[in-house]
Amino acid sequence: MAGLNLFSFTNQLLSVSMSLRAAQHEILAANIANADTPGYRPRDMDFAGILKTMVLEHKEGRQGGLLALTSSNQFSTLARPETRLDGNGVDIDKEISRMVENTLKYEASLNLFSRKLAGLRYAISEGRG
Amino acid sequence: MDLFNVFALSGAGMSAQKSRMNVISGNLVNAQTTRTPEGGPYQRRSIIFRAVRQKGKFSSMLSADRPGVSRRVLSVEVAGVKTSAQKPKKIYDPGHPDADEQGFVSYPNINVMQEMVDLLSAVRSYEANITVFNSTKTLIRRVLDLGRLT
Repeated sequence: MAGLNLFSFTNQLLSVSMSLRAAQHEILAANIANADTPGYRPRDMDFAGILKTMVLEHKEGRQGGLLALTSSNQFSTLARPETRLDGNGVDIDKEISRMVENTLKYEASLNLFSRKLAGLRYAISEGRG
Repeated sequence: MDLFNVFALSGAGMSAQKSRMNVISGNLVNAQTTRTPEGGPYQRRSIIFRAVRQKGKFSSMLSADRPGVSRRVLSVEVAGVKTSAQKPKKIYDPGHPDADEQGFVSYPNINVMQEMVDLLSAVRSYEANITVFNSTKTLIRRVLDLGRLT
């Protein structure tokens, strides 16, 4: 069964998606830390776009599988325009709600991955553990 | 792992907001001060924030092949405290020991309402950074749970 392979595509996808979510978390944290810095423009990450690019590149047969793609980590972040007189563009409520959403999605990927590992463990212990 | 860097970011944010609160309370405390060591009334102070690139860290040396997000996101630091050069408020009070020849006393040009609003904003930002800190802690704990054998 493909799902029980530790390096199956689904497991790699979940793992990559968690890495990307962690990167997104970091970007949001930097935006919040700079909520009052004059001239700071908040950064954004196009999560769906980046993941899609990675999956397409994997399907095109790049070596090393999906996991290798996160180590090159060359995705770019987009800057949002400034909205306040001091040149700062951070809307703290939006950032917090994005962070909560990101956290929930991270936990969703984590849960799925955890269940896959549990299935593997069950198979290894021959149904006893 | 990217997530550990977030502690440094939130810590920097909290520290910056705390410095901002310090400056604001200095203004509130001295809103009526007519005498200072430099002579003249207290001049309003304001804090200046600056976005900075994060310095090299232990973990970034381990992952030298993936500069990734940590080099791209900016942390925050206090660039300095600016002393206002605004003219003080003059109130007519000839009986005051600090009154000048025309009987005017120079008071600091501090608007207490403005300082209070600024303080509330600083507190809100501080709390937002605490939220970030706590969610990062939760995420890392959940990931560690993944590796538990029982």
